[in-house]
Amino acid sequence: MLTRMAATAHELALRYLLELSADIRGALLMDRRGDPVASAGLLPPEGLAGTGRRIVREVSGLASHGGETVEVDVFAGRGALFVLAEDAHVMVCTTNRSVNPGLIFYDMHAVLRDIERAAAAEERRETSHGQREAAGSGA
Amino acid sequence: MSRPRQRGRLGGYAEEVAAAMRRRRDVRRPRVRVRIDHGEARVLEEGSPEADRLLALAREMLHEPEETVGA
Repeated sequence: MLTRMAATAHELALRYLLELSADIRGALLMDRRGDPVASAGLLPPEGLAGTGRRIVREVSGLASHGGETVEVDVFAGRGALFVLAEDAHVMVCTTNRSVNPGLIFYDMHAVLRDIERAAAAEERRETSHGQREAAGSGA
Repeated sequence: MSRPRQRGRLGGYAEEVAAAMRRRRDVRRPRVRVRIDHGEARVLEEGSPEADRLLALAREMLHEPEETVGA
């Protein structure tokens, strides 16, 4: 479902997330295999895909079945990392330390829901377009 | 003011400063918290392999060098 949306739409969604919360420095969106889909804001310039993949692997290991919603927050020395794995996506955000985790996850959930909804709408549009074309060629 | 009383007051200040520093250190201590399927959040044990790996990944994402003991 992820690929049904243009990459720019995912990037726009992440940029919207950064606007939604001034505490979020950077955001990375991946699929459940850890393949990067979009990124925005301040993130490490090198090795981002590899680090993202390892984050997905770690977070997947925490869930017993693999399809559950997993929220992880890691407070390190000078900042915090938030990971949200839900349905087909894994979203990672970096923030400073003085944030309310509940609010960060709230914004992340909201944006992921929007992405999921937009992808579903795009899929429906493509399906109906395909059906129209099939009907047109058959006539 | 007598010297013993002065010393006592200085000792009090030193204790307050030490307590404030302890509180600050505790607040800044690394922490990894997990919540699955909107259940109750649990903090991973400090020093556990999962917590250490996630902390290392967080530091990579935050461009943060690993803290050395006593630094």
